[in-house]
Amino acid sequence: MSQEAFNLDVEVDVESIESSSRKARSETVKRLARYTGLKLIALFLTVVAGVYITIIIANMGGHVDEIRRGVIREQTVLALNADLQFRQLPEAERTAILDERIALAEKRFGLDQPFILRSFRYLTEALTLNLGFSEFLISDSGSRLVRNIILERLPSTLVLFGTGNLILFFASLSVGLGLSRRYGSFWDKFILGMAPTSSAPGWFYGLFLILIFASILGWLPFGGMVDAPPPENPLDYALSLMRHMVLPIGAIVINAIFLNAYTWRTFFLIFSSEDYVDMAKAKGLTDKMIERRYILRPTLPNIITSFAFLLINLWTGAIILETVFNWPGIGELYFRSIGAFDTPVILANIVVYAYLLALTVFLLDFIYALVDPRVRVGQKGE
Amino acid sequence: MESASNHDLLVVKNLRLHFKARAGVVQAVDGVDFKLRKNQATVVIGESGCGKSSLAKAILRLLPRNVDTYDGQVLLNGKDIMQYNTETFRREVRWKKISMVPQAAMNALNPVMRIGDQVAEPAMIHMGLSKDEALKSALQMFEHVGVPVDFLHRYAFELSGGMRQRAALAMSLITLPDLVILDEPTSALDVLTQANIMNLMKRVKQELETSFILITHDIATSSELADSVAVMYAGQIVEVGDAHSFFAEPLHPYSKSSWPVCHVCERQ
Repeated sequence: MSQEAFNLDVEVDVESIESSSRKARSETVKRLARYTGLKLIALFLTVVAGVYITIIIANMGGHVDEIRRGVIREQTVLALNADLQFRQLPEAERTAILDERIALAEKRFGLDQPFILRSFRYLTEALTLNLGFSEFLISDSGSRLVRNIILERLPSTLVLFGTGNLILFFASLSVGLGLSRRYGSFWDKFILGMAPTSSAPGWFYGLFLILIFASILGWLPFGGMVDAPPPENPLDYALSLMRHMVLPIGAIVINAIFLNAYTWRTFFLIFSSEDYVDMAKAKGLTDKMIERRYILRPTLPNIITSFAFLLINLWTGAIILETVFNWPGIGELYFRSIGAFDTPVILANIVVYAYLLALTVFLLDFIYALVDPRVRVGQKGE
Repeated sequence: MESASNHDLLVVKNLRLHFKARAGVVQAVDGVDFKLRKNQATVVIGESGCGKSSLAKAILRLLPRNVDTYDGQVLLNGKDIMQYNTETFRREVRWKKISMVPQAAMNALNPVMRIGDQVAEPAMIHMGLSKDEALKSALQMFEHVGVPVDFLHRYAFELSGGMRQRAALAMSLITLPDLVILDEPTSALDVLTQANIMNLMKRVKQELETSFILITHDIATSSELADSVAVMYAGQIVEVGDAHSFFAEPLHPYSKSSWPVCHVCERQ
């Protein structure tokens, strides 16, 4: 009798699921297209707003123009005064030539137009990634193209922070997972106790590392990216690069590992108390299997999110750490461009970061749907 | 005593499981003694919070982090499994000899793994089956407990409560363990599904000759399956009896106080 009840139950379920899945298939394409379109528009608007706000702030609402005008006047006067013929001209003629030269230079910078108009031109140029020329900064190879200035710095930042943050990420993930399985042990308490040390910035630890390993022990270089002059042999170059990377990477890892490991440990602790983890244990799975299938797998979306943001954050480098280690990276460039009010360079950094961020957010939605069967892209709460 | 243990599948002697809590020690399982013969079903009855679920956890050594005391003897087929180390216990006892259906089968399934893989998992670990073989035997178990075969490839969130409960039951039976501990397996289900699952377990008990420990506060539904009854109160088993005589005439004052409930269910 109970058997019949089962069968009845079963057929109804299969029927409804099949019909709903057929309907879902036919609507999937439409749903995906609409979702993708809406999401892209929303993200683009966010990028536009973010970049425009950056333009306003980087130009201090137009006040940077005053600084620019001052600089132009000073430079033009200096340049003209160096000319003997010019100095012998009568006063009125000199003023006329000076004003003409200044007007020309201001026009070249676009200062003859009101700031509000130019801000929109900056916006369209930034959004189309037409990064243009810097105002003051020059790349090491002598180029004023913002693209060249940034591209020159990008590899050094990527190699340092890429390596450092990847080590940091996977180390803190595995330490955190290990601690969550050994709750209350000595190492758990140790990491917990050390977590507040991460409130000090990375360069702070960098200074100590330089003091100990470069200054006192003399084992490693004080800073820079390679020996000077750079070794010719690619192998020697790589070795020299690695020697120079040890201390900054050490600073990055020591600085953040305790807090990150502690955060992951707490995160995994919460997910290890799920009933299905207990069940996996009751089923006699080994610890490795439980960790892989019942803790890491269900938390994969969170781990991927964290990893994706780590990747795009590489783009910004780290201002002071790079300065302390004399590392020619993006962070240091950022620092100099802000100091010099070089708005094209600042903007270029921001707009590329904004696009990377938007792209990541956009892709993450699809990645979630791939790794978590409960997530359906564009479907509102079923 | 030793000769008696030949017939006894499980003998629990003075089992204690105490937890550390903020206000002191919670004596969840406090010196429990009972026996279970082969192919027999014992119902452990007691009110909420009397330590029933902790008893199940104590037998399977599923201990939370705040354990204060955990000792006693648990003889499985005459061997004291409390003496096993963690690895031996995992390989020899968990799911190979004793499996369980947890209280909240809703959350007992991994949300991102296919049901079939989860059900087949113990067979792969403890019986050394290949993945295909294990899935095949999972399929057989699904048929046994009345879960549609194509659910093998579904995820937990796509199943109804009753189906998940059955999947959990199929999972507990896949290695053909000697003993299945059911921790309120039907408490979250409606009456009809409850009855279905109880019938199902009765059938499984006959066909697969499995022993059951059924932990519940629902005397009415459990009386169908039970061969013997243990009443648990405040961490201790206060009365053990043959199901028939217990439901007719409980002896312990606590059992007597809850007797009117039993009386009603017997008459039904």
